[in-house]
Amino acid sequence: MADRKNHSFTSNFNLRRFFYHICLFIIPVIGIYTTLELTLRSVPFEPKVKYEYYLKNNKKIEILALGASQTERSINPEYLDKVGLNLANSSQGIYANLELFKFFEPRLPNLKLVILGLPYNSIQRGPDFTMMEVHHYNLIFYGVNTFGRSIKPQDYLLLHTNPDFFSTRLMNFLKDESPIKLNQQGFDTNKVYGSYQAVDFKINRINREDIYIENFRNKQALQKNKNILKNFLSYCKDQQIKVLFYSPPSHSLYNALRDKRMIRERDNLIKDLKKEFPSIEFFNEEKNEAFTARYFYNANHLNPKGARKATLRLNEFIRENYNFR
Amino acid sequence: MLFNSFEYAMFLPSCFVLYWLIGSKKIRLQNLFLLIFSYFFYGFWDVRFLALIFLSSLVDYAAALQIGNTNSTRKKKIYLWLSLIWNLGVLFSFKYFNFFVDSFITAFNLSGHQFGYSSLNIILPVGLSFYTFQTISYTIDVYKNKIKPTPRLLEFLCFVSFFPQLVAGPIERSSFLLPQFLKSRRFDIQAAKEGLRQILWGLFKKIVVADNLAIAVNALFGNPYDYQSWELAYALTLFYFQIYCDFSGYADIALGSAKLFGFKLHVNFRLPHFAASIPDFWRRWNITLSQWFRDYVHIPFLQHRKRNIFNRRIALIITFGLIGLWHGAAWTFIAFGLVHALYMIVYQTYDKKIKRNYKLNKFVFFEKVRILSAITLSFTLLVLSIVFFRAPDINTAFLILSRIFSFIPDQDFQTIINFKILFLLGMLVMEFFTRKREYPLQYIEKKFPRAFRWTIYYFFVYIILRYGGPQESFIYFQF
Repeated sequence: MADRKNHSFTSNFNLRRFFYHICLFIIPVIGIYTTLELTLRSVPFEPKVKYEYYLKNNKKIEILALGASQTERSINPEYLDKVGLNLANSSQGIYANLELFKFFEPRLPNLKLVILGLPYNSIQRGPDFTMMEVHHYNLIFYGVNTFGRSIKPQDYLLLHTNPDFFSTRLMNFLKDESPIKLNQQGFDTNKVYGSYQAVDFKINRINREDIYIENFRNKQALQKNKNILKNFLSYCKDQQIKVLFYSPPSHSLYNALRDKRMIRERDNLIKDLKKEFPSIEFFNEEKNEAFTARYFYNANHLNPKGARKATLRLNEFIRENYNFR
Repeated sequence: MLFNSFEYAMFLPSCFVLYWLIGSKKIRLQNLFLLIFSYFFYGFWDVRFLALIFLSSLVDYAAALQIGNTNSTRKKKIYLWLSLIWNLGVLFSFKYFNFFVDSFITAFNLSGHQFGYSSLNIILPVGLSFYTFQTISYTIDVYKNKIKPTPRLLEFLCFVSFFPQLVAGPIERSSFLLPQFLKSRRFDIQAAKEGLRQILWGLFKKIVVADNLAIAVNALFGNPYDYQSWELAYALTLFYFQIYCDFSGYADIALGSAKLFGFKLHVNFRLPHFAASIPDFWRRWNITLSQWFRDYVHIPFLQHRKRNIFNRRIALIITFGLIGLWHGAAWTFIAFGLVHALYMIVYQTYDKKIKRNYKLNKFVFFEKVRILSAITLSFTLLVLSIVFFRAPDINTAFLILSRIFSFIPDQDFQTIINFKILFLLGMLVMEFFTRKREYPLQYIEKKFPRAFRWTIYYFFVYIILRYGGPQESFIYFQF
């Protein structure tokens, strides 16, 4: 008769016991995970500080900088005459940047200039170039979906994205040992110790093979980015927002490793865009020899000292070329 | 919906609760729910795939019924061929069409003629090779009178689409899985606990071991020109363990999930890296697939021919060539299969006297050495063959092999994933010492008190959440 017994969820003792044990087991896991996730939200991540800065200054912000890590590390808005917000982030591709622009532009009533970092290989990077952490940052701290797909519930979790990275950040925060020191604009003024300082800025001690450079040509991405940029420029033209393409300084060792065809493709793209949108400017600092090894964190990223110098030069360029009231 | 995804973590408990809420008396209702869950699971990838799996199921269901209902051998043959043409046609159209057309055009162009054609953009439905093989075996078994065709459409649809094993196996036979849908399934707390433990072990293998190994493998294979002998040999070894942990981890999650619903599936892996020969390897690796090819390709080929050496070798070449091709529409996979055919032929020729089975706890010292040497040799051969599995083309595969055999030492050898390599070693040690079990955590309840067991579970949960690699799709899903 045992076979005839109805083993439904409510009547089966074993099933209820099983379910009870599962809950007993899983509740602490969820509890600890949620606590960690919430604690992680109190860590002053760069996008969080930048967003707080934006909330305080959104009516005053006149300059918005976008781009990947090179732009992030080269523009310290503290040294701009005008109030600026630098939303550039490590490996943040063009698509993600322009999604951020779409979100922030209507919320910045005084926005006059958008600086878009277009270093050497940026236009040949596809949508998968942007690191997952960056997408999560953008969603959690800015509320912008840059994933290029619909949002999933787990996208709101940080720890799950890169447990290694976020655990370290969390531990540093809890021990108050974070090497990151952000100014009120969210720029890390303590990011000094890179591969260049490790060799005391003596370039003859830098191993050329250790310089990371992406010399991957990607025609598909190039075409796609071109279309995205065109749409972006048309929009900016309609809104009377100026656009400045910017390529930050990179070290001569890095420059020597670049693929000439890729440089040409980038420059040709900008030329083509300029024909259609004459108001755009391109400020190319890649080969500026005033930036010696001492200004670099590594071959293509400036240290805070270099960022100060680069931002001041950029400020000068803006002052000379744009007449903001 | 991947087994290691957040979606599956929501989907599985929801299905579990709904399924058992119905109660075991209402078998058909339970089956209907299983079918809905399975179609939802499959449609989550692409809703369009549902039409294909439904149509394929219908074709085989109808063909098998017709075969069973007629006494005419000729008619039986016609229905069998209709089913085979449909199944192989679908497989060919979705999986192999571009490959064969491209290969044909390349061969045509080599003869000096130019033939312009651009490949079609065909999406390969997930798990197509797995469920197609399952339905083919059903129709053939009905044709051979091994089983009776089922008149129960709902149960047959469940058999084809049962979500734990739908997209990457094990490839189940109808004689084993189909009856399970027809009988009452009672909730068995022990089986359910075993299921959860097996899922936990599978997640550990996939998320912690395979996904971390993938970082090193992708870095090394990303640019093989930059690496020398040891690093490439290391990359190949890691790749073997990556696919092992990926696929067997998937199988563990599949078996564990099935247990939660009162089903049993076949074990698909039995420590293949401890195989003492290549034939032994194929009795331990993707077991259900190897058995499928044995029963539906190799044996039928020899059945109608003289069992001389020539025919036996031809049978091996065909079987392994097809096993290679099953894995993917590329020459590299065919090469992988053919290399294994070669291994099998060499083994059959020179190594007949080597005992296939061994028991590690019974032999004396010299026997141990012999077995250890056999395991090492088999593993080396296996790892060398796996290059064809990973390399994007045959040329790169040979380049990697030539660099490995150049024996040029690497200046600064790095593990790339640092201490995370220890997870692999830990897993191997655990699997070795629990080799008689289905998975290391099996029967843990009999040995340890609850507090200790839960500590172990929490430890694994912690390792998975803390040291999990970047989410990679299951390698075998692409097949």
